[in-house]
Amino acid sequence: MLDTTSELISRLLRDTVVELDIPLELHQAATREYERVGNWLAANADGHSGWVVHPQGSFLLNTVVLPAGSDEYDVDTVCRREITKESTTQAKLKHEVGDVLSDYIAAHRQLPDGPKGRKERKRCWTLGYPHSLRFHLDVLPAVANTDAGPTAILITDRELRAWQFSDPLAFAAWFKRQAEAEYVAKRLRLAEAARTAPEAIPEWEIKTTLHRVVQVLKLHRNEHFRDDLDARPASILVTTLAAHAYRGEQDLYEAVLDAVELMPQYVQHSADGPLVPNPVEPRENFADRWRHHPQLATRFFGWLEQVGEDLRDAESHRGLDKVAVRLSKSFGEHPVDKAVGRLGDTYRQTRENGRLGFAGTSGLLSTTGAIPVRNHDFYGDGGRP
Amino acid sequence: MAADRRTLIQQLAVLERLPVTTSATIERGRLSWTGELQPSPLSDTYTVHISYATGEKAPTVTVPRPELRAAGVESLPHVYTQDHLCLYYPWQWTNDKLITRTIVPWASEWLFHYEIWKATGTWHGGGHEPAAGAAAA
Repeated sequence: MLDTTSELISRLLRDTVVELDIPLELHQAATREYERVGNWLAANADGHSGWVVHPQGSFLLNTVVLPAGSDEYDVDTVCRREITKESTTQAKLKHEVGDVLSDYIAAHRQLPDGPKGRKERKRCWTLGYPHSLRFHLDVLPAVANTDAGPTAILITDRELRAWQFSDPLAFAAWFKRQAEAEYVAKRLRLAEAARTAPEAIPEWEIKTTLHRVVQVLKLHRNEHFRDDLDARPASILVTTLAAHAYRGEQDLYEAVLDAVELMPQYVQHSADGPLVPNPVEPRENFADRWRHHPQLATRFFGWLEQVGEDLRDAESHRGLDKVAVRLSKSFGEHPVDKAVGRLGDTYRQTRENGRLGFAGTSGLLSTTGAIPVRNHDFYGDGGRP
Repeated sequence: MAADRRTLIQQLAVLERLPVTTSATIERGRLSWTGELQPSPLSDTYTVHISYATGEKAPTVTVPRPELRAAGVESLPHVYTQDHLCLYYPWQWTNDKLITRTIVPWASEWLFHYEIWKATGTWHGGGHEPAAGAAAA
């Protein structure tokens, strides 16, 4: 069970990010919604064909954490048009997508789970939903990149100049491959437990240690850059470097410490400045912003060091309450509180199931303890002196 | 049929062999045990004291160090008066049971949940939920 400080911290970290991960029913509702958008666009939009909506980013990668200071999840999608870039312009593409989304909203506004409005962002459109749904849909207009792989796309850039290369689906496949062995083993285990075939286990139910590493890093980043959003490193940059640095560690605490140590090695240095190429589309540089704002790179490396320091410091405390206070500073009070409570529930259930043991050498409670802890019930009333 | 009562000597003999024990004595008919317990690798280490004399209903368990009420802790969960730990329902411990296999592990578990309670404000260890303002047992 949890016989070392590292195993215990790992459990607390995992349950902290689980607390902010997207809940099952929300994941399903968001999936239904982008599929509905995609189906409707394919059937009703101009040309009646060549409109595909698919997920991208953390929703596709399975590394969602609730954004800081919000109770709504971002669900990122791509609206890919099967047309060539020569047949349109970036501005035209964006407006066409915006227009069909308006039509979609008008056709679904009356439904209880229907979209309530759209907002234009720099690169994408955001569809808003009733507050109870707790998510919004970002739709990024794109055209197929016929010069590259089957899932490659071109997207509009912030200043609407050159088309930008991207390939979110191929990136997701690459990300999955970085922890393939664990992914396959976990899927098998879940399938056995559910007495079903591995293929019947939805991909997004399978979380490898690498998924958790990325979530821990993102959550720490959200807290660290809470008041300085402009300096906050992008999720895709963090995810790419963490996936490069992942060595198959099974212990989450060790894996995060190793990751923050190794991630800087994967930043390349070219004549044009720092380079973190998209591993499946090298023409996309995830460290693009650092070229014009070198101080952001400095902030990024400083943040990685801070993650390591914070975790090692938390691990050096004695007293679960003190560890909790330390972790709360880095990851937020609410999710850490929940994780610590869950740890208490786990120990109670383990004892109730007759599996908790006591080590006479230390007083340590664990499933490997030599003396079985008999079931009992704590009594008493919160005595006053 | 009820099992045989354990004598203080029998209790002492087993407690003495427990590695966490720092002292175990019988003086004037009273068993007195002190040990150091660390309930989890990230937990503090606590000095726990158990006192028991033949004829008493149950051993009393206290934590001399560190101070359980330190730093703003006003009332503790699951304690009797004088902060004796309440580890079980009255019928869950009888004098045929070994302290080593019951009271000591339960004390460690109490300390584990005490730390979680300090962190979260909620007792996650289960057991009796007292009514607000109930008199100490």
